[in-house]
Amino acid sequence: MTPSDPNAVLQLGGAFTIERAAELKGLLLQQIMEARPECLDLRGITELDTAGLQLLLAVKRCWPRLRLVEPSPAVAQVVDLLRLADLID
Amino acid sequence: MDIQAVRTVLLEEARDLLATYELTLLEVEARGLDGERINAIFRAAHTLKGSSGMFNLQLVVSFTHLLENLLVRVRSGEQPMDGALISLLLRCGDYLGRLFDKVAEGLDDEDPDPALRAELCAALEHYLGGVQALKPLAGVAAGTQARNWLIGLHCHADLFHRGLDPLPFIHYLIGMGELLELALDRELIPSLEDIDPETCYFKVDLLLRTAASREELMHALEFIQEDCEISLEPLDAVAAEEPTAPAQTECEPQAPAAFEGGAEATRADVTDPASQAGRETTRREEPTMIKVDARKLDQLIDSVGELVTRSARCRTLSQHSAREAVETFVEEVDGFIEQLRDRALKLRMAPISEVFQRFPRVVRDVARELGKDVELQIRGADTELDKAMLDRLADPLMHIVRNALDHGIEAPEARQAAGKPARGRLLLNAYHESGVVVIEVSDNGRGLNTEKIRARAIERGLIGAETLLDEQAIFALIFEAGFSTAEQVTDLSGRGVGMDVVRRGIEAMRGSIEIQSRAGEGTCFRIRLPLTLSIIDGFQVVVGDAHFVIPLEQVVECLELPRNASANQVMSLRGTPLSYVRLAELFELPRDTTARECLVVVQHGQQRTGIVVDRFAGELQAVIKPLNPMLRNVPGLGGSTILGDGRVALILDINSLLATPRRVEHA
Repeated sequence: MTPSDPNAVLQLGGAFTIERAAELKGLLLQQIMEARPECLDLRGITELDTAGLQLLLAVKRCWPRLRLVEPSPAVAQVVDLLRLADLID
Repeated sequence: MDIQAVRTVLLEEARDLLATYELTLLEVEARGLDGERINAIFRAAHTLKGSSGMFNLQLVVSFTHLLENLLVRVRSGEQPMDGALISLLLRCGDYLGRLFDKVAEGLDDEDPDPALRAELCAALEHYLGGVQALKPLAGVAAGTQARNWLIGLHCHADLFHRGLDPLPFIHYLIGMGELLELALDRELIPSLEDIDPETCYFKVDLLLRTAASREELMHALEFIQEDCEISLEPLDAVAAEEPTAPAQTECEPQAPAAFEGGAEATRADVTDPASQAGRETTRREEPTMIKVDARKLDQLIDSVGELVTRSARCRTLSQHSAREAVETFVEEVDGFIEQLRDRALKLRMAPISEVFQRFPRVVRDVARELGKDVELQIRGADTELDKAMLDRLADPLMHIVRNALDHGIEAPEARQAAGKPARGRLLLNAYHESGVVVIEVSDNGRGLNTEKIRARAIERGLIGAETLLDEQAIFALIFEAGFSTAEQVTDLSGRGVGMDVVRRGIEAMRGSIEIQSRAGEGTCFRIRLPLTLSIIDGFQVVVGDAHFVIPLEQVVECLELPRNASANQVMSLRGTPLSYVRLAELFELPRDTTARECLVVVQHGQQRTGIVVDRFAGELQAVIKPLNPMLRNVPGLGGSTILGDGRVALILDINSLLATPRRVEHA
């Protein structure tokens, strides 16, 4: 995967929760910096709490053009609850 | 405070919370769901999750997280509470108890039962998955009385560290009405490089149309109000457009006028006076508790004990110096010491509810297992006794209760056939009575069958076929080792550990147990316990050079050994035969041959026996010290104490002392 591959997709998965927040921050930073993905695929996220949501928002803030796609039910629920539809492409 | 001590506090708190959780669930089952009960259940699960989070107990946190999610939905009325759900929630509580047992052993990451956990999690998730999208809270429909509220929620940075997440609360709030707008302040969230992943940056404003009052809204946020800045503003301008606007006063009759001021009420403080008043009322009912390390209490009581000993010595000295001033002074000191003793002992006292509270669950489960319908009543739960005894009381009491459910209370059909209500009643009762604590377990079941007990006792060789026994003596037989009348051995009380274990447990605490029973009407087990195990009022007696202390509460009377005492150790006391023993013979001690023998009549259980000694030395307060290891196995000794003159006296354990001669004689 070349750094500017326009089709690069980073798959996110598992629990995006406070318990893993520190680890996830490191992983996200590293992966995004290395792979320069165009979008983040949220299909695999099984659980999302406020800490996890903050990370997704922080990603968007850092890379506004990075697209978040394919929200899993867990993600969709939080997005609906907080009226964040525009977060998802 | 070291980490271990904090963990101990956590564990204690966890046990308390689980007890509340269980008890409240049982209340819900018995009396139905109401706001207060579901809040108590939710609060327990929620606090467990929070404090476990601080100790990084991941197994507890992830499990309570699921539990909490489900409880949020019960609380909002989305998920009805039924018998099946109560059973599931009870089992979840049991599992959490086992998790904390592991934590107590230091095995934080060990799952006591992975299969059970998987089953419970699946069941919880089934409920969670089965809940459809948000519905408005029942009874608080966004109807004509609704008004618009601007609600601001700004979480403190350390919110996550307290095990909290604002999302369930938002979810719950929205369930109370119609969400018109919601704005999350994304500006507060730093970019990924700068974000502290464990800091909460959450700030949200929402506009909610609801008929709920300010109090109800605050109530929804009760659990995070200490970790957030919360503002609640009614948008009266909007509400005034409603044709039914006057009704709004009904919405919040208790809301203080100060907060009605529209524009002035820019930021209603979290401590809304109305809800604060409400909280204080609930708080005032609960006694202020301070958790104290039991060792510290023991140390305090030890030093009080030393003081009692010194005071006795002081008294002895003052008698020799015979100066009135000293005597008066000593008496004063005595008074204070007694007061100090009583107060120090009170510190050790805890309400018996600590033991009683586990029984609603036991009775529920056992009754179900046996197919019986039993109502448990509890009285005198605030009766206090020594904490050490509470712990030792639990097992005997459990055994009696199970026995009553198993053998006492009949199956519903049998009860109806006997003309009794199908539902049996079990009563746990506790009260103070002249220096002792009385605990009763009574049922309205079939009563003890004296014929059956007698037959079984003969069969077991406990009594001879011709032995004449009164009713009390027959009842007492069920406390003999190896006695069991269960016609069918159930897995509850027919397990070989019989009522003799109960009796020994009670007697080890210097207590006694008696039975009252009427055929067809029921049985009552009555346990009497001293208030404390550390100090007793005693009666000092002497044999040769040896000093003994008899617990004063067991002393009936003291007299000279009458000349009519027969050789076979039975004498006549005012026409009643009284058996007696010579302490000198029991302990093989040299007697003081010059002394005229004296007799102390003691009461043990239902019986009286005489104990013959050389002389009496009067009453004293004895601080009970452990026995010298060499004497531990000598039957009849309960401890030692230091006398005023510095000598050691042995405290007699009357029940075990007389256990051998008391054996029922074969005819």
